[in-house]
Amino acid sequence: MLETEALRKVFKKQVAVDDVNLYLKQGESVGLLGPNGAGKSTFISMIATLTKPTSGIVTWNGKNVIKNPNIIRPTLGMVPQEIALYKELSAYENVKFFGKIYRLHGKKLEQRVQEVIELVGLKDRQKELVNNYSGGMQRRINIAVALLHEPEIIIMDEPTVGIDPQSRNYILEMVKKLNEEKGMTVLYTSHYMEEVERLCDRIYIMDHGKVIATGTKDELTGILSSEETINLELEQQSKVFEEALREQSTVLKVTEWEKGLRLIVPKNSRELAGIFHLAEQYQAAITSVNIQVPSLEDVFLHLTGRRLRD
Amino acid sequence: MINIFTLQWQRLRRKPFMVLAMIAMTVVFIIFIGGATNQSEVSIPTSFSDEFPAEDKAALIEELNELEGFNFIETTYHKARENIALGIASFGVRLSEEDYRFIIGTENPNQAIVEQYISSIYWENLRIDQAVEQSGDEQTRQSIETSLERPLIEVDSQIGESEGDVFIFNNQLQALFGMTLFFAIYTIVFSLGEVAEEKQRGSWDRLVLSPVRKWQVYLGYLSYAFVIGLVQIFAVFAMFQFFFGFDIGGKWLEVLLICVVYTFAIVSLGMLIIGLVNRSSQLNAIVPIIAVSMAMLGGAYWPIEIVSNKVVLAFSQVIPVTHAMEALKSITIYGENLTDITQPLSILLLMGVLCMGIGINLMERR
Repeated sequence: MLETEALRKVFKKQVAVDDVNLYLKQGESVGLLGPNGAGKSTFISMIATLTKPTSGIVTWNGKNVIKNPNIIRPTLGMVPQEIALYKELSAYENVKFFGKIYRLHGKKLEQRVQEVIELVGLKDRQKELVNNYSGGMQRRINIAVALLHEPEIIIMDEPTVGIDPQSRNYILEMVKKLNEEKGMTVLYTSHYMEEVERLCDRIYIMDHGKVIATGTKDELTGILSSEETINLELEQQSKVFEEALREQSTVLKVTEWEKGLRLIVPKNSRELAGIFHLAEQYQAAITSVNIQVPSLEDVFLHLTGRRLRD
Repeated sequence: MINIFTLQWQRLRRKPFMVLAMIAMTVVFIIFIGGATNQSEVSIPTSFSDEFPAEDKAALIEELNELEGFNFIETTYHKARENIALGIASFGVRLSEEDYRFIIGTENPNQAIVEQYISSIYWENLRIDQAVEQSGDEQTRQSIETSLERPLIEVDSQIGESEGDVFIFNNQLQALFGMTLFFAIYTIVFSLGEVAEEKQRGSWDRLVLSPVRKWQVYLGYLSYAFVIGLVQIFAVFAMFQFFFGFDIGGKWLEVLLICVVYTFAIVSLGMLIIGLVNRSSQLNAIVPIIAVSMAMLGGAYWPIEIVSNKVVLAFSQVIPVTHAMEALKSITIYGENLTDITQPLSILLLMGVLCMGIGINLMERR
């Protein structure tokens, strides 16, 4: 349905997107996970025909959309990261304006306006100015506008940034419903791995403009199936203890976290005894030990050596 | 396009502050600079030297006051200096029997007119005195003065365009045109600034992805900025003509045409500026600099006719305000016709087309 081949964008000498290949099947929900600055927004901007790629191809149902953007535009709903609304107008006025822009009028316009406002749960407050809305409500209207013309595919660029947990939950449920019940194809970008885990069938992990891993959640965490994460909580950080751990051949990676150290070790390596022995030797007081099943966060850490929100 | 145009009015209804503030500022500045009442006469403190015959003072003052638009007020030399020092008057005159001197506080274009007039009176009196002296008959004076009052041939002299250093200065219209054109720049460019904000906020992308064509989106914004600018200019002109007693004259159609062409040029200039800046905060910083510079160089603050610096005059030629002021003054002050203002209007149109082309090109390249 949607496919990119070696899509690349270079700004002056900075490579923002580096030969990215991606595909989306109809009705699929795909996540694009990566830290800020990974190139996610530039990438989806090229898919949405808003930015011209330096090289590469984007096809929609086999047709090149770079040459003719109008192939994809009528079927595309775009939710930008910014609140792309007129804050001095009410939610109703905003949605109605964009409805008119999409050439809806009369009863059909009114009907669609009410449908999407109801879908985002703001029917009772639709006459209030967007400026008076909370961040979460503004984001919901931001999504409503993208759904007005009943798109086949919706591209969402970090739609939950900076909002309260309830609104975030509402939005995630809504996106899930759109995908599962209405069969809408979803391309969802985020740097929150739990959102992508919850919503998406397949995930692309991006960093420094490149796709560094792709697959279902299980496939991705499978990368770490031969490893496990041990979180050590320490009374206080100890550099000598950390260095000693690094020198252990059975410890694959050591990183600091706010309460202590995080180690990646081969699965079932029975390394705990050695760790306690070293802690005693270097007088590092361990207050808690937690052995963790790998998550996407660990996958990212494993692949890049950094955390998603670093 | 019509939806984007009407959306801007809907938004203006909710946030009218900027436009109202610009109109209010225009009115306040015109009142301060031009004076909103009918008292368009310029007062000139006039003192006499000690040897000036007391019996001739009243007659000379009366003769001087025949000059339209000026009021020569007899005062002492000391008082005249004080008034000038306090800024009550920008200049005054001290009259002696055979010469006169100007007491100048600040440069004022009216001074040239007054000097020309006083000089003509003194020359006339000097010639009569010489004629009387040669004839040795005091009756000669009487007969010359009678002849001058009822001349055999009436000479009607007019100032031609080529005499660039002589011009008619109308303080009211100078302030009205200058301030209105100046403040309209803010309204127009800031209205267009919405395009920059739309791009920042992402709603521009929504419009681009919609079935509306890009030129329709541009046209929606441009037509709004154009109409709001034109309405502001024309509303201020009408307000001062009908409520404050300014005399713009009856050529409203010509004035409207000048306003239309000027507004188009400023809208285009606005597009060029927006094409050059990246953010609305940059726009907020750059617009006052450009508007004030254009007003200074274009003769909105003071008549361009008093500027003699060739570099400044050369710069003024690439500023829309200069040509709009020239056209407005030609129609209202010099009583010229539409055909006489073809040149400034054509220059404004050319500027508009160039700026628009470059501006849209710059925006699209981003």
